[in-house]
Amino acid sequence: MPRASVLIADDHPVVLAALVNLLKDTFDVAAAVADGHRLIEAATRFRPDVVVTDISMPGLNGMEALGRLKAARWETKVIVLTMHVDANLALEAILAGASGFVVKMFAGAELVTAIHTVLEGGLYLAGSVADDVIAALSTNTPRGNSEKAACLPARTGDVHGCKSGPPRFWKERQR
Amino acid sequence: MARRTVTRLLSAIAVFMLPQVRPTTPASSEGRPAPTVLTIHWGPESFPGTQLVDAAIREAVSRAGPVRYYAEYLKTEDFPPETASLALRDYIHHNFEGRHIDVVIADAGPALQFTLRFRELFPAAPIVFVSGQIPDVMMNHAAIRVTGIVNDAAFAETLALALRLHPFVRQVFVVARAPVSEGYDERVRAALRPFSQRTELTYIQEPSVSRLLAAVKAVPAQSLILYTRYTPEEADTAVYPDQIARLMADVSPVPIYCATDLYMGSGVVGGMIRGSYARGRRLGEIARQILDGTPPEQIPVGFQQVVPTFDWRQVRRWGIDPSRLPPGSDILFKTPTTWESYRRYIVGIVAVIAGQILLIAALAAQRARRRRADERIRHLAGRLINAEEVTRAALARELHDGVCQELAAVSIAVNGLKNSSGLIQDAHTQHALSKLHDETLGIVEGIRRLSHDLHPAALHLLGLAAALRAHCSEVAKRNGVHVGFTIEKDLQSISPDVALTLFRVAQESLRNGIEHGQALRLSVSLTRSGDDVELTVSDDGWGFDLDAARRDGRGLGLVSMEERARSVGGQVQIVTGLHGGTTIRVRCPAAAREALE
Repeated sequence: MPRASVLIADDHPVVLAALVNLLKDTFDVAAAVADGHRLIEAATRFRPDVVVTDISMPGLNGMEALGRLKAARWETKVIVLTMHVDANLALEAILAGASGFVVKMFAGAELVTAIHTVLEGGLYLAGSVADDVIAALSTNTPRGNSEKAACLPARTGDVHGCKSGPPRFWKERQR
Repeated sequence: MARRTVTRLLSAIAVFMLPQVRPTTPASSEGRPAPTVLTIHWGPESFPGTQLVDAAIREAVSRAGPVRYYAEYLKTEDFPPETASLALRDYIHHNFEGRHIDVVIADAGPALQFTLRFRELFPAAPIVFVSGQIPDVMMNHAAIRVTGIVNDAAFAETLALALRLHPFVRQVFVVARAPVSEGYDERVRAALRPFSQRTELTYIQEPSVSRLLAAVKAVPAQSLILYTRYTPEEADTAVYPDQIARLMADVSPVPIYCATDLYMGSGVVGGMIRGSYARGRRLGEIARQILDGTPPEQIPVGFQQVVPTFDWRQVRRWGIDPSRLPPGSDILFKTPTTWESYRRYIVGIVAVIAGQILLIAALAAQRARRRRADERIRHLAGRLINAEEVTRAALARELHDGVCQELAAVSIAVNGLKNSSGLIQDAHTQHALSKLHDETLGIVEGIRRLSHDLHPAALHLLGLAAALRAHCSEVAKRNGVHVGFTIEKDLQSISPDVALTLFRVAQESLRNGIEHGQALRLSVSLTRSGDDVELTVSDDGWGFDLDAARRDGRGLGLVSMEERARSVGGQVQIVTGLHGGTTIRVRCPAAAREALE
């Protein structure tokens, strides 16, 4: 069985290098890019099996790139990789078509497993947000405008902020 | 003569030595009777001005010593002249028979003529006169013991003055009629003749008062009237010239000028006047000189000075510019103005008011300056807060996006190392790597918290409500206290500045409550009313003395809280007291910046 091809996108060079180092033994790293536009270019050229992308990147951010890749209706699976332990963000990513959500701090332990999971057609959610996302999905329409509907229940005393409308995280770099 | 000087000397010594004795023996210090002075006035006693002149003579003549003073009246205008003259002669002859008359004063020309004509009544007495001209007899006989003053009425000077004050007048009406005074009319005409070149002179010669007044009433505008004297042809009652002046002034459409003070106050404007009082005083002074021993021949005949005199009311009535009146004018009937009466008070009050106004202006300027300074301080405080926030945000982002990312890379690398094959799979090494990974995670968590404290990135990402909720739960977790959070429905849009301000106030309030107040239960609530948004933070802590906290350094947090609120147009209300818990409430416009500027 040929090795699955992976495309990695992260604007932080050290992280990018670490990711390449992490994945190169198990997968065929097709390309490692630093922004959303290069990600689309590389994906178009290499048609990788899996795309691992950071969210906050200059130019086209990870969520926007995700939208384009999904719009192209390729078989490519997308795993969103972020610093933020945020169930809302994870939910947004899944709803936008991502197959996996991994928190960077735990990427070393989880990313390889996550890639394997999505390649097998599964959905991978980082352990730290999985319960919240599933809980949210099981209630009501998550994209509704009502704050209550989008608001996730508290877990272990931590209260996650909710806001009407989609989370604006990926706008951060542009602001 | 020598003897008299000696006695005068003696009397002077006596006066010097026995000053208290003299008033009790006023008649004479040497047994001689006081000298006798007889004044003969022309006209009856009631003639205007006569009493004034008489009083002036009496006062002047008796100034240096007692005199026996008598006044008689030559009434040649009231009765047939010859009869009146003879009657007065007989009267004096009988009354003064056997009496020595020391000086005779003749007031006016006819009186002088009388004294000269009946000189035998007082053969040795010097005569002091006032008359329109020097009597002929003085020119011919030097030694008749006569002296006095000449004071012919200044008709010409008066008319010249009037024409100067009324430069547009081209016609002058002269009222001068005294048939009983021989040659009077001619004298007036002669005096005014020089003016016939410059102006049209018209003499009003009406025989009766009613016709005179009709003529006066009819004079055209742009003219004036010179009134010297008027005696009607026949009158039912005695009419004096000053009464005529009043009657004329009442009907005249133009100003009336005159050359005698007898008419002043009757409605005439004035003129060049030789005053009655001055005349009487001068007559008395000359008589006194003679009584004191100066021979009348040694006293030269003088001319009475003429004084421009005006009735202030008439000056105003006819619109005469007061600045055009000749210098040294005698202004009569001028009531002092408010300014003249109360000048010192007015000046004082104005000075006080001006002083107060200056003071008020200075205080107002001071206040404005202070207010500007306050505004500048507030502005600077706002900028300082802003600059601090910008720096904190930059630091926070650097920590989160830089250091954390790198630590994530380290974590990934450690994991990769852990999973690589070979000697590394040794249990001891695996344990060390796991520990390293956990420590990295701990550092990331610490930095994430620090970054969050420096700047709540969640505020931009998630909005005020979510950021506050997250902060509350984090504070609760970190300090082991209970922090309630309530939010009233949808807050709608809140400007980023206001959101940051409210977040900071909540942050500071919670920290104060826990660190200083040892509070265990705290609550944060966010409500919106109209355009305002209100944040309330309460705790069950010890509370504190607000004034004391403001005074010492601990109040810095409070001050910065208030400054922040003010910089977005809001205000802070703090309710606290020892052992009473604390409630801090901030209210500010949701769209603060726009509202403020």
